[in-house]
Amino acid sequence: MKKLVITALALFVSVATFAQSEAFTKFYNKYADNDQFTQVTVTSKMFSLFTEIEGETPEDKEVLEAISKLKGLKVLAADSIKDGRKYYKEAFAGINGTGFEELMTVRDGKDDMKFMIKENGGKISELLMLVGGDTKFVFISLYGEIDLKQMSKMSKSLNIGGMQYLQNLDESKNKK
Amino acid sequence: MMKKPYLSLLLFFCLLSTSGWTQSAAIKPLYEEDLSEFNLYFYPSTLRMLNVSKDPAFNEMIKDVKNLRILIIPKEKLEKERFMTVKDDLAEEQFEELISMKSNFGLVHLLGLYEDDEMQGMVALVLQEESYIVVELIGAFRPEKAMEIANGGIDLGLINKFMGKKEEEDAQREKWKKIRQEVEAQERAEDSLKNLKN
Repeated sequence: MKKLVITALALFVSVATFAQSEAFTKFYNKYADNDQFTQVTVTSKMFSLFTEIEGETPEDKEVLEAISKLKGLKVLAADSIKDGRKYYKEAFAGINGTGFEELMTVRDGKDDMKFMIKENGGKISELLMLVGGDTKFVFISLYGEIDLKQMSKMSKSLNIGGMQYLQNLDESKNKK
Repeated sequence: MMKKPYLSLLLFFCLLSTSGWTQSAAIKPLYEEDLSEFNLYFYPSTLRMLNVSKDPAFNEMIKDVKNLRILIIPKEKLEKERFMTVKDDLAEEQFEELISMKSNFGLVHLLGLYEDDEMQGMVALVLQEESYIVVELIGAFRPEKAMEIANGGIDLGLINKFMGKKEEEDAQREKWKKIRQEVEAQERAEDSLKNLKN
């Protein structure tokens, strides 16, 4: 019985650790029925497919291993929306004070970009990427066990534009 | 953001990852009721014909594919609620959702079936403005070859042309956007020059 309780508790903790933040979910659900937005959800099962692939180089193997530890990806994006900055501000206001640490801010042309992370037990459990411009808005949540060192390489495999900026992170942040 | 043509390719390659699975009971009635306006059935030989560039990686990837079926049903022949129950029925058959996507292309659900962590099959359900599309694949493929192709690109003839159309339109739109921005910048510069002179 004691073992069962401990197992149940461990399962609960592991689910809670890798669950997606309420702040993102709230925003995502608010605009879920809005046809102006593109929505993408990738489940942990999809990421687990990467474990079946054998990387040819040690670098490939590291990236594939990092991808297989991801538990989910959600994207809410619009590339021809009126006042993308309004959504950017609203999304950022929703995240503020919910335990996310700002990692990096980038100004790419007219677009503003923010990367934020949430840590649990010394490990990054969620990465948010927020982009806002005149007509553009992107909000991405990647959750699971996240290895920042592999993120920029991973973004190529996942085809998520913008995440290449993570390679600019200094070494100390990468070691987190 | 996700690049749509790549997603289409990903979807296509993901569908090539089944093994030893016979047609889903949830989808079978859609064939039996003769609802389709367009019905494609690919054997390994016809799939290989898509590989116009004769990329060995593609043939390697599909060598264990038994068949690929594509069914297109016009909306007037099937109620949306009924089509949406197909996803629930697939879930009852232990299919798990891998990807879902909603965009101006439509609503896409990609589901996979597993047994002892081994993938047994995949189905894609696509809900578009005028039609429903069901894609299912029976057989097996090598995912590492799919990755190789997805990263390097492949000439699939007409399929590439179909998928590339949206990309061309986006590039054209982006080009005009840049031109507009340049004109606006020039106008602003001229205005500030005028203001300085005044």
